[in-house]
Amino acid sequence: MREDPIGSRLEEFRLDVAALDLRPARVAAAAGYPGGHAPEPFAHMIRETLEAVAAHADVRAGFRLFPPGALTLEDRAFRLAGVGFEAGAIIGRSLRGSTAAAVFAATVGRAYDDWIRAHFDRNDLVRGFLIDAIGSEIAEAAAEWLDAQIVAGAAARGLAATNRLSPGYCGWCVAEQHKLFGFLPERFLGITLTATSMMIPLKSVSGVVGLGSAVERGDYPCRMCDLGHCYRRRAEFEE
Amino acid sequence: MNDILQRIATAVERGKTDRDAPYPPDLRGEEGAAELTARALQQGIPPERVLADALVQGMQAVGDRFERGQAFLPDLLIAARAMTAAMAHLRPAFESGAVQHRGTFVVGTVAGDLHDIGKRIVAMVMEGNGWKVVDLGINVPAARFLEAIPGQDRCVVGLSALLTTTMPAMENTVRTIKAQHPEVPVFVGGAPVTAEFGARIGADGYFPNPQGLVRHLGRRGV
Ligand code: B12
Repeated sequence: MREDPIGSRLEEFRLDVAALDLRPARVAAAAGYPGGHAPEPFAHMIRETLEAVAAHADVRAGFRLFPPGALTLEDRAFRLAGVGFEAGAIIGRSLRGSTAAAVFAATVGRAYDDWIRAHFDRNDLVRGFLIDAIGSEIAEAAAEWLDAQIVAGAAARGLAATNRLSPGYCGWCVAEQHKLFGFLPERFLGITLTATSMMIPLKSVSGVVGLGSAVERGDYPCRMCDLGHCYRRRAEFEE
Repeated sequence: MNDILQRIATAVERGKTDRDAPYPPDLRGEEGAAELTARALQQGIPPERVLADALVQGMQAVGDRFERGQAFLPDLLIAARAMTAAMAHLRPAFESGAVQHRGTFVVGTVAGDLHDIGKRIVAMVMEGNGWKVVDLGINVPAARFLEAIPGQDRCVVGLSALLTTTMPAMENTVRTIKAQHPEVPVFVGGAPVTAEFGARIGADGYFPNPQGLVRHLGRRGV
């Protein structure tokens, strides 16, 4: 843990994939199977692949926590530690009441991207596809885990937290990631950003959580999202 | 239908690549699409019949199930793989001109975008449906498409983009291709892409998954 002049703190974690407790049904749902019911041989392949992920996933997560007063809100924009973000109306609404924030990222690591590619290169498509889907779920699960740390840390200071909000979702332009990463050390967790705002490794997520004494954690995030044709949205609403 | 052709179609549909393939369990140890295809050719069944009446039938069966929501991407992929293994035995027939690909599918992820998997899946499913595939890879500048198109028989282009920040590159690529090769159909896909966006940038169609494109091209009778 490091502290700096404006009173923000940086925290980094390395996670054990096993601790994320990724269930086969979650992977099957991510691979497109309604209700998470994959038939054989895929169910078997998912279980087998889950057993092998630990050797390829280097799951890292971390955040920079800004103290109360660092965040100010406007209708469709917010300002964090002097940097302006045009986040759009939905994000603006979601952040309502926040005065502090955590800027976070999580990644499954570069070796994992290579592992996926290796399967496609040797024409092992199904396994490659499943490994890809599992990597996405690990990244999500790591972000969920990190989110829980942020929420708990905030609660200890009497603050509540918003949902986790990511550039590229809900009308917040993905290019604003550059400003978010500006708050984080160079190559934070090994992540780099391309000019087109892609994070490398691919299985990475970034975002912000608003904190304040009067914020509300929104309900189900899919309800806020505008990607109508998303296969995940369908899957989740069916449950 | 000829028994062996039926067995090839089933092997493709169920993703039984070859004898060694452990899946599906009820076909374990039996011949797969590869061996059956080789045997059918040895028996003197014309390669065009093996292709049209067996292999393509198998892919179509799994494709139909996909469209009805009864099969999913892994099913399409496992079938495409079996199909590709069988096609290896048809190579001499392709080379002699006895059978032909349905056309050439030139595919790539647009400049600035490094997403690979979705595009590879589309490429595999197209290959499994009888297309010759030229995969230009990821982060492909428009000029690379212009180099790849000339000389390809019945060429169709597929572009993939996974981030809104790379959709302008998709637009630029479509317009560049259309300026030089107005006759070449260009199709677009990828998570943030929509049919409206495709229409606006001058693409010939948008499909949320490879099966949609396969079906569309089937209808167009390319
Ligand atoms: C899983 C997922 C993730 C995973 C993995 C991402 C990855 N790159 O591997 C994780 C959790 C890590 C993630 C992270 C992010 N994601 Co994300 N993610 C998704 C999700 C849910 C599925 C994408 C996926 O992997 N699908 C499976 C693969 C196999 O499918 P595919 O690549 O889309 O290809 C298929 C089709 O699109 C189609 N297709 C593709 N190309 C072509 C071409 C042709 C010609 C045709 C016919 C068809 C076709 O066929 C393929 C097979 O079916 C989508 C939403 C969605 N429903 O699609 C958002 C989505 C792609 N993500 C999005 C965003 C914003 C992000 C982040 C920027 C968020 C953040 N700030 O952290 C990061 C960026 C990551 C990075 N490396 O830069 C946005 C992108 C749009 C935008 N605004 O730019 C999407 C669309 C969600 C949304 N609601 O807007 N993400």
